[in-house]
Amino acid sequence: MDEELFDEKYDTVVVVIKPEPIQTVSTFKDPETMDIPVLADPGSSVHEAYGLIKPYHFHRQNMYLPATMLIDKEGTLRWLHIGKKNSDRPNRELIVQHLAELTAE
Amino acid sequence: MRSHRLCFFSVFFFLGITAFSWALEVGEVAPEFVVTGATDGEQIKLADFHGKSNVILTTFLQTQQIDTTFISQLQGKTEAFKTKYDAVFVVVVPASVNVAEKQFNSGIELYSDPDSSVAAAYGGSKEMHQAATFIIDKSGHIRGKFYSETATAPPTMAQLESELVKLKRDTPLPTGSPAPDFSLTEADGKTTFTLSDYQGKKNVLVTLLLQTY
Repeated sequence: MDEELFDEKYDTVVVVIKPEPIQTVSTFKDPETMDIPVLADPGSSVHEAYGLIKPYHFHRQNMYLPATMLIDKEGTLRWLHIGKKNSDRPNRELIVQHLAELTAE
Repeated sequence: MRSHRLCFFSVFFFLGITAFSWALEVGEVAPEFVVTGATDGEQIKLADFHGKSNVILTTFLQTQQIDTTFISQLQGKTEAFKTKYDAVFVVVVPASVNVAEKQFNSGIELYSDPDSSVAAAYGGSKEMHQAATFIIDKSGHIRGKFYSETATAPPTMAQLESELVKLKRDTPLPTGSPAPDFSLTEADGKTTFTLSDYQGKKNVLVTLLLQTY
């Protein structure tokens, strides 16, 4: 992901959140996100606060949805892309489109 | 940040004959407040809870309004509410009250509101005769408001839970909504990323992954 480009051109920082303990997150390796801050959220608090919960349970545990979301400088949720699995992410063009729209305002 | 003992806020507002408009509505940003611990003298403010805990705020405006039964009920639910809803109770009493007499030996910290600024900010006045409790989420927004026609009818624990459960959304947050704040530790185990730190400065693009099995 072009995190430097996003920061310079679109005034946007990029982060990744994993609903796992810090010990697991610290060993997380993904070539696409290596230089992006990866945050530990063992309680899945962000998934829950943003309503990214599947409508069924697995072994009585909540199941969550992967997502990409854009929050503007005013703290408003401007775009939310919900995926079916981790690899189901919006392509770069779509992300740039939303960033450009936001920046143009 | 200080570890939080249980704090109980009970706000009992009394409606008087004078016109009163309940200024705060659900969805609005909760006014900031600063109160002082009755036993330890330590100050806490609403911002301390941002990104960390939901707050159930109740304030007693007058000594005779302090509902000991309600406070006892809160004490019994403290751990459960913390575990299930990440919620803490904050109880504020008038500065004129000898708070030590109201501790009930329960370990519940009561907080004084010496200049009644909290009461004023949350729409209360000595002339009001209405009980009220506010639920404030981690992003600092009012998510629930309880009041009754009588001065001694605070919300039941079931009523509080019915609102708290909504804080765990079961449907995706609509775009255009205030983004709930979060504060998480980075993979280095040292750095904390807090969404609200970027307000007014940067947009934030977040990729939320699933757990790796």
